Amino acid sequence: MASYNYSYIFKYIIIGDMGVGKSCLLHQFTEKKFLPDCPHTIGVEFGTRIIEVNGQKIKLQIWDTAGQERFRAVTRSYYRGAAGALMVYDVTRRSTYNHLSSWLTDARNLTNPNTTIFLIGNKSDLESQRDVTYEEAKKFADDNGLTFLEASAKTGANVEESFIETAKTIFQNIQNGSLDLNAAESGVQQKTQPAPAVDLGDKPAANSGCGC
Amino acid sequence: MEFDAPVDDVDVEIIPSAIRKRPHMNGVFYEGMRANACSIVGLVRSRFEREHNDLILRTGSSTDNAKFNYAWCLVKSRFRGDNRRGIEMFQDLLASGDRDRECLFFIALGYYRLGEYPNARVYVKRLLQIEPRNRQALQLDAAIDKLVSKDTLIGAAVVGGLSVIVGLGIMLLKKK
Repeated sequence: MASYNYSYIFKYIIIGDMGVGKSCLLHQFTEKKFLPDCPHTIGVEFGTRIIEVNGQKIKLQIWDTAGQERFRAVTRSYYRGAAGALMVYDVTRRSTYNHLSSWLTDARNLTNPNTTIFLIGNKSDLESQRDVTYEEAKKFADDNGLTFLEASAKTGANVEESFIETAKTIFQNIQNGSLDLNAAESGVQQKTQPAPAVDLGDKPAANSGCGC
Repeated sequence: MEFDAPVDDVDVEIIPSAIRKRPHMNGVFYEGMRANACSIVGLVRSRFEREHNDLILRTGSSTDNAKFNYAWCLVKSRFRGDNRRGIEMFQDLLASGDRDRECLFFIALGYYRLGEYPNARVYVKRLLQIEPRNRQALQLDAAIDKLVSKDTLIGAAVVGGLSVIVGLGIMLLKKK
């Protein structure tokens, strides 16, 4: 049985072009395994993991969105109330990097001003096929006030770090007061007592109540 | 990882009470918000519903895109009537377009949410024929199997229990 005595829940979304490895990053983070030839996500997938930041247990609820254009309207609905957004491109495909400004515009418009946006250049293991330099992406990140890491869902390099660094920034924002937990759509919930087990919705509609 | 994002319970955890208590946000109260006021799906449903209906009103028919978005909300709604309507819309889209894998998945998900597992299985198997390694489809398939075997066990227990009662009844009648 999982332990549910975490003190915070942070909501994350993962966004970026089709095929940049969003689902593989999430799978690597939650299952510590690489998924080879992963088909395109239909709609959204969902993963959770409890991590520890500054001695506090934090449950990350991660919404992994489909990169396909046809899902854009649907996936945009999940941006609402995200505390963290992981924006992913593929270091071996320049087009995925060129589209970042449009992803960033969406993220800025659809989340709250305190949402932490983290830029990930995935597939860093494919050095020989590199199409975007580290320096170039770092400059883009700096210009736009994003934290940036190159990572590899395949080898696991920097995957853990990306998710945890994002949580550290969010936690810092809570502590210094810039993230107001009572504000609508902060994407953070504080648990005052051990929470009951939460069913993750994989059950028929007939049984599910929304409790409000 | 889960094959589908939660629609109700977990969303309730994360959407602040400010929104939950104010489903009539901006002074406008939409049908969709009443239906599903505390989920992400509920919050966007009114928009997708309006876009779909506006197109029908203005041009006589909706677009595949608008239909797709609205059908998605319906399949994920907490209400069975919505789920059924969503399945019908995805079936229309399946017959007309190039969105096979998405339509098959959401039809299967709709039937799964309705508890109609044999129907759900038909569509998830069709998806697995196209994409045998689709993880979301494999997980949905496994979830259906789990619930079907549970239902079968309960069914067997009920039948077993009934036959004992009938048996006892016959014995009592014979004694008379």
